[in-house]
Amino acid sequence: MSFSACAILTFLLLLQGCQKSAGKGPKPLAIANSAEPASLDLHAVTGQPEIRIIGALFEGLVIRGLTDPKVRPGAARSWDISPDSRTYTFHLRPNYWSDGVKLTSRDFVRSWRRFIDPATASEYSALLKIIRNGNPIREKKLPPDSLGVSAPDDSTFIVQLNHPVAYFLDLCAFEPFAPVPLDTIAKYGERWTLPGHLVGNGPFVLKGWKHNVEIVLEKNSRYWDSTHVQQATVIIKPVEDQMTAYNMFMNREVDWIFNVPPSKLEAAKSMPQFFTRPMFGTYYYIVNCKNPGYDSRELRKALSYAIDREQIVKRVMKGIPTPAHGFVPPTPLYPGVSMELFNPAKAKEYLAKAGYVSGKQPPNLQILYNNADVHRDIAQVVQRMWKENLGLDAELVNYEWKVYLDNTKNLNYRSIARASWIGDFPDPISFLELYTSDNGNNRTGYRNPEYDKLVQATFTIADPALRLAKLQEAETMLMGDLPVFPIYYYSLMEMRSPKLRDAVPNPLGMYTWKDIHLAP
Amino acid sequence: MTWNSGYLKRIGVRLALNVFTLVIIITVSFAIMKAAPGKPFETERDPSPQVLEELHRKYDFTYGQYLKGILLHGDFRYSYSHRNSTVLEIIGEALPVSMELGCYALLLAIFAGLTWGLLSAFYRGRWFESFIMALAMIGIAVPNFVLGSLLQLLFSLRLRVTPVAGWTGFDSKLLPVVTLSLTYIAYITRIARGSFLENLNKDYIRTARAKGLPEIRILWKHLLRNSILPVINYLAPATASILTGTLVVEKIFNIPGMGRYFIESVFQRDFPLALGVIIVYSIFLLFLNLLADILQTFVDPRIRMQ
Amino acid sequence: MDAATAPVPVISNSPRSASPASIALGKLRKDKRALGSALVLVLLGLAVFLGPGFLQDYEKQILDAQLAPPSLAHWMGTDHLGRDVFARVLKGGQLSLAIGLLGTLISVLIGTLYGCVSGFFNEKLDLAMMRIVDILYSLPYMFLVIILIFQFGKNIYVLFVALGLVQWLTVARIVRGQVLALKKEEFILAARALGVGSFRIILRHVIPNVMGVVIVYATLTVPSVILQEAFLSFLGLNVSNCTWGVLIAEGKDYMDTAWWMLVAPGVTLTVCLLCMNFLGDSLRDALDPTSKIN
Repeated sequence: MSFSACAILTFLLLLQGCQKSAGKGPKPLAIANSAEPASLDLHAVTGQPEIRIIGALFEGLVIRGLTDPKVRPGAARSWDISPDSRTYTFHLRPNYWSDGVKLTSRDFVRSWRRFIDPATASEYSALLKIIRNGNPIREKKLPPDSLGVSAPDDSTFIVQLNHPVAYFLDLCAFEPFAPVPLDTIAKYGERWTLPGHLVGNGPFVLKGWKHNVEIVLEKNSRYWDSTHVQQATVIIKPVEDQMTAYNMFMNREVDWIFNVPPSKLEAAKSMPQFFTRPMFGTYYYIVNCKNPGYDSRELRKALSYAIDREQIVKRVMKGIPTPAHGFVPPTPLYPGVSMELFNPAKAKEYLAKAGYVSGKQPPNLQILYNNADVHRDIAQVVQRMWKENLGLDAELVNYEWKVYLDNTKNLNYRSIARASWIGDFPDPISFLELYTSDNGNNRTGYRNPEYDKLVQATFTIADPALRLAKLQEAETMLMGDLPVFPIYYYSLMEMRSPKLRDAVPNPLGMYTWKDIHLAP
Repeated sequence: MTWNSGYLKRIGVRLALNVFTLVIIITVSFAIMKAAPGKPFETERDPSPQVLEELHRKYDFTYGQYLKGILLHGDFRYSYSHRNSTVLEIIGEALPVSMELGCYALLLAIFAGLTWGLLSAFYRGRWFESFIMALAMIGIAVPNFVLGSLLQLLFSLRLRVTPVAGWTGFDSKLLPVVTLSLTYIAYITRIARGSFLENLNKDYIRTARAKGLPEIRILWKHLLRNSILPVINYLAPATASILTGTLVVEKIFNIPGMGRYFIESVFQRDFPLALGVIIVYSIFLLFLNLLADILQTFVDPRIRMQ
Repeated sequence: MDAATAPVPVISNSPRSASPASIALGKLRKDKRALGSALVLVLLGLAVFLGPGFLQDYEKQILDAQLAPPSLAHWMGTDHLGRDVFARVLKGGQLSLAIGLLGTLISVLIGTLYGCVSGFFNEKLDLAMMRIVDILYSLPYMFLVIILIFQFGKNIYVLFVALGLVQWLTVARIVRGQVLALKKEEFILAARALGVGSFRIILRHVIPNVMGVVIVYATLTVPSVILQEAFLSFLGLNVSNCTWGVLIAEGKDYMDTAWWMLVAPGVTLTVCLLCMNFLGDSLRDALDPTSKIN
């Protein structure tokens, strides 16, 4: 046996000699994506791994700024906004699909109609409710072609909104708002996203797709700004296991990974390849406000004050993200709220106010979370904090993803559950809207008519500063009621090759593909 | 045993019985899966009722529709979680990879297991036997997710002789195959050793010894043939389980095989995909069992097909 | 790792001689390996079930001592949240051993009964019952376990049942084989001739005679159940945050920075499984009248 081990070892050493040297020509950019994309149809996906690829294949009217929070022109050369901020007129530049067909404003009209059409069943279609007739179409009361979009000529695209929407241009930069090639879709049906079929207008085209192996993107020579695109080839490998992805990066099999496994954060954060920036997302706990005991604001305050966010970030996240001092992550121009993070004395005080004195326990104190190392570690730390600061014994319950979704959605959890939210567009409303009474994503049972009124009011305010002030008022109210305990704001935690250039996330942590390239 | 018509008829009956078994397996799996909590189209962002309704309209199917589709048209439907692919396409791409991985691992396991079993029988009672058996038990005791990570750390990150992940060149296939086979090497070693030891006391071996044949020749020529039966018996379920067992290895080494779908499809509530992989797995298992029974009658003519 | 692939002990005895138990015990007493293994297991069991009472709280998190290497204060170092690994390994053993033992017990109970009934009565019943076993064998067992866990939540009872339910298939097959052989033995035929009821025969004569085989198989099942729990932990389907499986799955990620997190639970588990396997092998040899002690 020891002989065979020696033989194998020698053999392996020989192998090293014959490892293939890199081929000639410009080096492709290899990326580890966190999952195999479910689809590349921009109206059928919601996940980050899909959106990431779609951003390379399609381009919306505008694209995200490189460092500036403002958007820059994309398929549209310029745009005008009517004085009442309800009508946007986009002027398209001469654009071509990757098959050479001219892209016109008609394509945008048809694409957005397809986007909102209930028959398409796009889960993001709720974002279109701000456009005229958006809601009735979603509820099947009007046909999709009554959507408030029009194309008076080939290069003009007009959108009519229900009310002023401060973040509308940001929304237009969001990937599902890009145009889809309807003729191709009509021709191939479900299979239009296969390589050879798929036609796009983005900086790259789909060259190959081997499931669970790789997706190959090549520079799109028909892209309007193709001189600007420096990367010739991009290879996207789906790697679900974070540790494997990290190891691949360390072994230089990929140039860029989007996650660092929690066990490697400490080592990774001091490496030059480590890259972190704030992201537009919050990690938080939700409370089932419908359940006896947890309908008490005092108890919620006690529990929240007893969570030492700084310690969680320091211990579990190795000090990389920022402890959350409010529900909305820092947003350009938005002042936000700054609640007190940790105060064991106040926690005890509120616990007593809630009626839990001399060791009396609140009923069914539980933390429900879905399976993942980070969630488990944070839950264990919080459990310990409640034990040490309040003398409360919390039970940890973990569920697999779909059951977790089911249970939180139906308020089928005893007291506390883990949650997270990443905004789709850089506006506080994408967070604050969640906890209005009838929002489908409000999984707390929190109902506050005054809060609803405040949030509703922001929809009609045209003045940006006034609107943000109102939003701040709403967030303050939310943080006073505490149906949610914000814990920390997400950060990008990436590893990237030192040769990666111009991969600058915008202030929300999202990328624009046309700039990114690998230095020779 | 001869290839007479009675024998073929018995095989035919077994095949028919297997189809029946398959239908029951589909039924049971279908029922269990429908009963599982969690919905296939539920996501973190709450889809509107209209969207959900549309998705259900598009993708839902009843038991009757499914069974009819499978049996009459071989239609495995579209996957829920990979919406542009049919289940058949997904399995068609993944199965060959898993088979390749499984075959290499199994071949390695049979070769190494028999060799070590033979050696341990040859050196019975000496320290070398204890050494092999202890190794075999460690092979059983070490979970393969630990072994895989360990090998990856050692050979890919420290020695830098193999790639971390992928299923492309020979070098990338080495670690996954070794990782996957170790448990099976350990089991086969143990089974083979037991069987060898049992046969060592038999008369024909004594006769061979009395004739003065060299020991290794006795082991090879006489013992192996007569002791291989338990190993063959073990191989049928092992082959099928190696297909599902590739899950961990596929995850750690990022191999595009089928093992991942056994768990992933259930986690995603991707019913068509889950049913698809179960059917493929069951067909394999049933077929292999049949094959093992046939092989048995070849190796040992005393055993009759039931 | 897999119910379907666990080796079926090849047992060729028909233990009905005057006092098979005493012969077996005699053989076992001379077997140093078996005695040593039993001793280690007893010590391990004592440490696991009594130890945590004397040690520091296995959940206490010491912020300044995250990933501290082994020292006098922490014999096996601390983990990524600053908890004492030694205390956790002992605490984790409680559940792992309990899952292993109870899971096995359930599988043995169901399997023995099923196997007896299937083997003892008429051929048609046997065929039907074995067909059911075949069908259940053909289902990917992990699939069953996972769905059961989804369905009934994550608690240890579900895990006992889930793992036990999968393991019983092999027991049933082995027992049935033994019963088929036993059925033709004179003492059973005699009991039948005397008009003893079937269930009485099963209880009085059949079960005691297959017990030896079942015990041997059980010692081999316990490790495999413990390993399956570890596999489930790897998938994130752990029922508790402190079992050997969880500790190993956690330790795996730290193997190059904090080896003690993997080595401590890993070695404990390996030693435990080795001893159980040795004991099982020795039991098998001891119960086999044709075997000699090697």
